Amino acid sequence: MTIAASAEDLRASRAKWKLRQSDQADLTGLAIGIASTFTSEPIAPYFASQLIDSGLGCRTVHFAPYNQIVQSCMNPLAAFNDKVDVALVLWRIEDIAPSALHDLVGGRHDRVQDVVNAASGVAQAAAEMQRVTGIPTLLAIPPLPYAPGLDSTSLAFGPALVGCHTAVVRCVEEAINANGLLRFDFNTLINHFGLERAIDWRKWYLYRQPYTEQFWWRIAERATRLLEASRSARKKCLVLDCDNTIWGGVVGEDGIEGIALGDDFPGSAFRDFQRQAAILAAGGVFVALASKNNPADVWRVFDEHDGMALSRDQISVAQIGWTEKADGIAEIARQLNIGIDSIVFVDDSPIEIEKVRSRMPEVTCLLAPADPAELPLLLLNNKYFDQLRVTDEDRARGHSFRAEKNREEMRVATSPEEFRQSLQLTLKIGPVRPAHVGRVAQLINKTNQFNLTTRRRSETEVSALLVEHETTVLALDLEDRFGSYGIVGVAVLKTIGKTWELDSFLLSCRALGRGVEHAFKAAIAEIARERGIERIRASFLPTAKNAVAAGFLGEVGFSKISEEAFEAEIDGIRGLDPYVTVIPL
Amino acid sequence: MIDEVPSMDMLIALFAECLNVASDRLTEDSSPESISEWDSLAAMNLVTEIEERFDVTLSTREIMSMRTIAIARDVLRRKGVSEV
Repeated sequence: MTIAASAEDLRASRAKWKLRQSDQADLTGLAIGIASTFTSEPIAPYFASQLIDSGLGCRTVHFAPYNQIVQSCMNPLAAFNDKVDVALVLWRIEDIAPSALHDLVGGRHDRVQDVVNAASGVAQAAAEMQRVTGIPTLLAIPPLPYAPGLDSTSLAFGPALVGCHTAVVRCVEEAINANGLLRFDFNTLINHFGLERAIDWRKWYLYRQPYTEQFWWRIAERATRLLEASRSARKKCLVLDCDNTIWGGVVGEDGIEGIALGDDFPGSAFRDFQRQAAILAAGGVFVALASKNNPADVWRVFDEHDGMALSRDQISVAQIGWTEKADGIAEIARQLNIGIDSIVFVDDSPIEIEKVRSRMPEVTCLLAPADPAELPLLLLNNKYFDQLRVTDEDRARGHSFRAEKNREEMRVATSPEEFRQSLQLTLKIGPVRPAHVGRVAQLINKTNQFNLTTRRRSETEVSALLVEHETTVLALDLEDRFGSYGIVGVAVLKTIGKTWELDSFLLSCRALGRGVEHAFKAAIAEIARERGIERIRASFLPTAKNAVAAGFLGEVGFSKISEEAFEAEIDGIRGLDPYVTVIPL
Repeated sequence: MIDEVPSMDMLIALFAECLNVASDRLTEDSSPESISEWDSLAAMNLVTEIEERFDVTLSTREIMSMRTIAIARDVLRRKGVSEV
């Protein structure tokens, strides 16, 4: 998938930006603050247009004074001249430590430490800004120094620069990890784009602005993608066709020996595509099959073909047969208990793609390219499955789904009462700790169904809640005889006198339908009582997807006090279940 | 009598757009000294738009010489841009 912009795209973005600047009508979306060691203003139109296209929106882009990033991070309100929602710290080593770099290429290797110290100063300032102001901050990993006065291509001096760059990158990575900053990999970005193609020396000398318009577009693209991944839900399931999608040829006609899959092209391209799917599966994306085939033929390829990269146990659900693919996809969604809008479907047949698209516009349909060499590019540079990091829950998801299948078999075989009794549910509930933040933010951003208020929050925002005095964030971890579910529920409570205001209350759909939601509520009431809270106030904000939670507050003893607001005295909250054990997290 | 500057002059329109000023405020002699909007950021923006619109690459010497619209027009004509 190409992400290059045409000259026309660039021009249209700039024209739109000028219009927005003059009428100032649109005041929705993010206010971005950029602190940079060089002139960065050309990014504004491209950043704004891509943020708007992504749905995040862009109200304005502010620029801190040129090459004063440490000072700007110390006082962002003054530097950006306004409050910003997100900050981007964009910098290069050659701008912050020019003389140390010169000494270094001149043979003074002792200067590496001075360069690293200067870099550390930038990273610490960015971390301090995020910590003090709570503004989520994207910190750049700086590129290899590349300045006219420092020839990094020199056979004699190049290695010293490369070594110094490696030391700086390590230091910045550490600061990013230690402080929960958003990692903006400017270095890899410029490597992919091409250092020489990215730079316009004329503009650097005339305006202290080093980059071409095309590269500014790419910087904006990457920053937008990072913000999207930090704020919104990724797709949950990749549904794959088989013939001419995960292998070349038609297994029912060509036989297992006749399909293309393995070391040699075109089989190697299909295997690379499978490898990508296998990596997604390991990171918690469900991989499913929707194929018009004889099931035995497909499974024989999985079991016997040594070119396969995907394994049978990585396939969560398979719909193989002669029914319509749209029906198969609906069944996959039902079994996985996910919405069809979180499905990405790949097929090589334009007819199948069109049929699915017309019946299920919510499904993201991707046509596998006719040239197998382009197939592995289909999922590259593709935001659907982006996430900032893989959590333990993600890694365990495949296993969890199989445990869930076993539960389902038992549920069908027993009465609801017996089922709940035999599950031996254990609820662990307690305040969220920093180690939980990744998973908690993920739940906050992904849970659509059992979610009373559907308020989304980034990891940085969740971290900020943990230190707010009047706010309590509780997590629910669930286990039963079939295995652990991990953290499945989150409640955000704000203390107002002796009242807890339930800002957010959500439960993963994996945990629904076994009395857990009621027990979670009752456990919260118990913690409230211990802390001297007398009542809980809650609201239900309806969305297109959370109807399942609509009656919940009434069921656990809340009474309606206005259109959206509910209230309950602590002693009136019901829900503890004799079959559920509650222990502290 | 032939008007040297047509009423819908492309270059004036482009300068007006980049500098974010009304085109009737601009003349052939307009310069950073007479138009306060013509700051260094606007100048940088002008280079981008001129190069793209007329498909030319300007040298730093040419960019630095373009202190009025008339000079810019002259530079572009000498580079073979006939529309201006």
